[in-house]
Amino acid sequence: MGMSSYDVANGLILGIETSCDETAVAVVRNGTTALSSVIHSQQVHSRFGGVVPELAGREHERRILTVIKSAMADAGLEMSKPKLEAIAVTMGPGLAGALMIGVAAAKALSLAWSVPIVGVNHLEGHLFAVRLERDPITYPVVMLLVSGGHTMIVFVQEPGKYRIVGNSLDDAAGEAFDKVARFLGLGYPGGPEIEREAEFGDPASVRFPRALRDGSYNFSFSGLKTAVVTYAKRNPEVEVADISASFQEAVVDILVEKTLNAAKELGAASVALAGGVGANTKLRTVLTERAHGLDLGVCIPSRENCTDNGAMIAAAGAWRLHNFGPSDLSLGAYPSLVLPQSI
Amino acid sequence: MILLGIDTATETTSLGLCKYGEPPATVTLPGPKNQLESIATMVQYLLDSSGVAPSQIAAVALDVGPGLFTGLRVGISFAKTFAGALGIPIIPVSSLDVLAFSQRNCPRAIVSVIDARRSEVFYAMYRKVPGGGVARLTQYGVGSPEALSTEIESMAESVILVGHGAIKYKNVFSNVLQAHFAGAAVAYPLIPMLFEIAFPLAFSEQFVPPESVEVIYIRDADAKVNFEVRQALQKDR
Ligand SMILES: [Zn+2]
Repeated sequence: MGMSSYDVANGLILGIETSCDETAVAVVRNGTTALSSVIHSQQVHSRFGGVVPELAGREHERRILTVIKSAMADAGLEMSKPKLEAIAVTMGPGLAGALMIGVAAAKALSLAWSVPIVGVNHLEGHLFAVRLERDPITYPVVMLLVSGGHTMIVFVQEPGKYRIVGNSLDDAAGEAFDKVARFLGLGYPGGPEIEREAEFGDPASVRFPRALRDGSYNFSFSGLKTAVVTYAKRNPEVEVADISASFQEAVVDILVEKTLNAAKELGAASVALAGGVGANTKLRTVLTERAHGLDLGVCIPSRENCTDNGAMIAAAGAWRLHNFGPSDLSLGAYPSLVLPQSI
Repeated sequence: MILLGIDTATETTSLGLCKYGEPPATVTLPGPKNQLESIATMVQYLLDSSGVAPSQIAAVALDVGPGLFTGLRVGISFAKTFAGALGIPIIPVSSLDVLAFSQRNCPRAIVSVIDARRSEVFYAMYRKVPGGGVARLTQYGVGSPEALSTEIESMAESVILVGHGAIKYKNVFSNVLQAHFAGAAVAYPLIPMLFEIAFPLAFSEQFVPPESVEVIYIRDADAKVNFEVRQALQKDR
């Protein structure tokens, strides 16, 4: 690229994330230190009880430049003299029309500023969120990646070397939260709503089933969802708070149990949490406590770094850039991209 | 003054670079696919082959629709961010206005018609004005080709229909008395027309900051429409 005005040495990468309903941009130094992280969570979807792709596209388009400008300003950078090493952007998986906004914006910055772009796998981005925390994590790590779209256990030997050891066979954990919340008459997104209700309830009041205790690391939440619905219908006198607390207990229990089993069997040094459901307090505490009991290292990224954000994309982008170089300007959006497994 | 022109509103990706008073450099790719993949490489190609640096561009002339939502947003989000990064403004122009402008020397009333999918078209009506150019007579609309035919019929005058929407539904519009059709060569918004409209606006500083650019959707998102219909039905019960 001609007229290079960017500074390779300073290691500043701008990360753009628009795969679902968060318009997020961050500036990260050396792949580890976020100088800024701006997240605009779209509110338009709440009345529909789920993300509406066309509305997500419209919202991303409306917000993208404003969010980029805020992230630059928060990092103390000028739009006219950006001093960036690269623009990292989520290229998939996610909603096609949403991903496209971020990729198009990244390309525009690349041309205007003469800096390279690097396409990032959203799932790999989540796995890199741990690198944004102050304490360095010890590899190999078993990561629990839980969100509205994904529930997986990933063995990370080192950055870039992944094996998916467990996956949800039906709903993602976040989806289960949404569906149960909707049934119980709570709002959307369901995770925070259930969590709020659960605070006032007794987690031991109902013993919901823990599915797939078959030694595998796969999950199934549809049975649990049905059990909750059936129970609530048969027992209208039981408080929503108690049902919420018991349901949350069952989800957290199975997530933590399988993650720790995988960590033990695979000889991991630590366990870590990623994804939007990772913001759940109960999950954070239980995973930390039980992992400590097993002498495993634990990394629970800040809530902001668990949910979709630009910093994790910049962190993964830094690693991709330094190991594989930049992406081509003809980069596309890849809605069904999978996590590359190399071990 | 140098303008960058961007149009991804319909089934083509068209880009151009134009210094005022000189013939524009343009690149157009047919088909709605690969708009995201090609947009930046096409702009890069235009810049390189014209020997223009991004910092020399004064403003972006941008087709803001109506058109096909996803492609439209690729162009608009690229344009907004590009302009925002360079600190330059945007001159938003409607796709229907660009189509009509190609017929600015025609003495008939002009009807721009863009395929809106699902058996509907986006449209607007225009008339040439003294001194060059066209004046829009109606709001931007969306509806069935049949309904538009009726509307055109009520104008009771000779019209020229322009745009691929007119060609796609030619059998419907042919029933209208005194309907003429512009050819396939002008069926999609042309970048030189976009520049013709944009330069006078640029000289009179009728541009907007990139953040304020609004897409002309006309039609709501399907999910929103369905949801509201469902709500209204529930209320009726
Ligand atoms: Zn995510």
